[in-house]
Amino acid sequence: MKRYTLETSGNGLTDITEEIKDAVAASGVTAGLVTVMVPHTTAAVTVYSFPDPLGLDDMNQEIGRLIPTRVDFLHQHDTPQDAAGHIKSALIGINATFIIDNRELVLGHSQKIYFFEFDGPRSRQFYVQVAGSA
Amino acid sequence: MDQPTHAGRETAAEPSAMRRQVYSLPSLIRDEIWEIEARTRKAISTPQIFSLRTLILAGSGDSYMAARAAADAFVEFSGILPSVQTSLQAGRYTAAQLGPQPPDTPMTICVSSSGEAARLIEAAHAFNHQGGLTIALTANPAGRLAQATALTIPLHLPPFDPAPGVRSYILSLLALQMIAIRFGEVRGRITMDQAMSLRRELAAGADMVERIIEEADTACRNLAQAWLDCPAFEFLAGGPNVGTAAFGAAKILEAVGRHASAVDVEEWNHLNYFIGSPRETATLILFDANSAAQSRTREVFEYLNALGRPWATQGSERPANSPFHIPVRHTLRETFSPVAHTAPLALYAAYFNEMTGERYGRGSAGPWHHSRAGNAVRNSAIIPFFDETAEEARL
Repeated sequence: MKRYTLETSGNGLTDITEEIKDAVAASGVTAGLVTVMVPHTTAAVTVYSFPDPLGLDDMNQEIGRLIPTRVDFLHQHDTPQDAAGHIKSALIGINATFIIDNRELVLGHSQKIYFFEFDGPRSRQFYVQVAGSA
Repeated sequence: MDQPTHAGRETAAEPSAMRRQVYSLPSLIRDEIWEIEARTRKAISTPQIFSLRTLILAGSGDSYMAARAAADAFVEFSGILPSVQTSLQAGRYTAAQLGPQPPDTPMTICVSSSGEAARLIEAAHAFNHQGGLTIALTANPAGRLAQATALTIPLHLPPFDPAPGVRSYILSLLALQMIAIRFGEVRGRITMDQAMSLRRELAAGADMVERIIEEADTACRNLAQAWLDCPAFEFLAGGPNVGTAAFGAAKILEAVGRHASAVDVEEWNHLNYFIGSPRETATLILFDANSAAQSRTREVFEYLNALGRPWATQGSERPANSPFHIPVRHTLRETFSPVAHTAPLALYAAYFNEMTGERYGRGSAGPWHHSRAGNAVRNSAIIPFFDETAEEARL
């Protein structure tokens, strides 16, 4: 398993596709699965269309509209952004699995893998586990 | 008066209660800091923090000074400019002048370790009457202040031998700083990571204060010896340490009963500079290399020399021309630096007390008997300001 760290500059999506590809290449696995896991409760991992970067802003803004940062969450241990972030994280999900074929990560032509921050800026990490046959 | 020398009277073989209070500060901070964090985190709800429009920090004596020392933390971390007020000002003037306000406005944090200060209880009632949100920050959650306020943030102050307050002051100061961090975090002014980093910075103050006490102990004793016969004392500082300086002056008043005052270093140039007996006015200057006031403070050194004042510095770095220095080696940001400067000031006053043999607060005896058991401040008549009958009684 590989562990990666990142510093988010705020809320939004950070491209981590290259890190996943590197983990796959380093594993020597020719056919199998790779799982990406985010060990946080106010962040997530997702796949999104990358050609138009404004689409990433759309996603970030839309999730904010769906689960706005409100002051009346019952969970007040931390902050309103944190409380909203927990819900966003649960809905988007903290892990994703992809296929490895012929030593390569399988992705659609417009797909990239993104770390999705809901409570940034923060110091973050994610894990990558590759499994399969060499 | 002469500049400090190492000659002077001996102190008691056993440290006094006041000095032991100082020595206990590191363990007190260590034991209580995260409990304070937990209590300040839970006491005030997110909607209340967001509805905050006007913040008043009110108190008397040490509590007022703690509020003064913590006020900059609210500005820096939460962007809120608090009004630091004495209990009298808050209750009998501001509350009346504000008139009816929006819900929960103003938010008034009423600071009183004893929780029994009559004027502050009166202020809490007055702000309640105006629709404000009142919060008691007190080590006496069963006291009259806590009963008068809408919310209470209880502080755990383990019992100690009676002496001028040092432990209570540091707890109030830390709690206010923790509240400032919390307000900034919840209102999104700082991130949760930044907030936790600031809290850890405060928590690390325990080890820092321990080292500062060790390094400053002899210097505090020597300064007390050198200025033993001085009739008047001034403490100069800038920014948050104006509150710390006021604490230093308060400890001189309580410990030895001599005239003592605290002055913003700029205001000193306008006012106290002109004191007619400079050679009898011992002047201690809080001076940190990272202080926004440091260049102005350096200018004052020349004036002090010209006046012939006995003077000394206390801080992170000894200025080249300082005749005597109490080392307070610390890496705290200026906003938190009152935590570092508190212990040496109390230590100095404690040594002074031991050398003079004075009784704390003159023993509340003779002409000072009104202060017995806090009577003069606890049992003052509480006037329901907005009661018409009382209004007539006041006239």
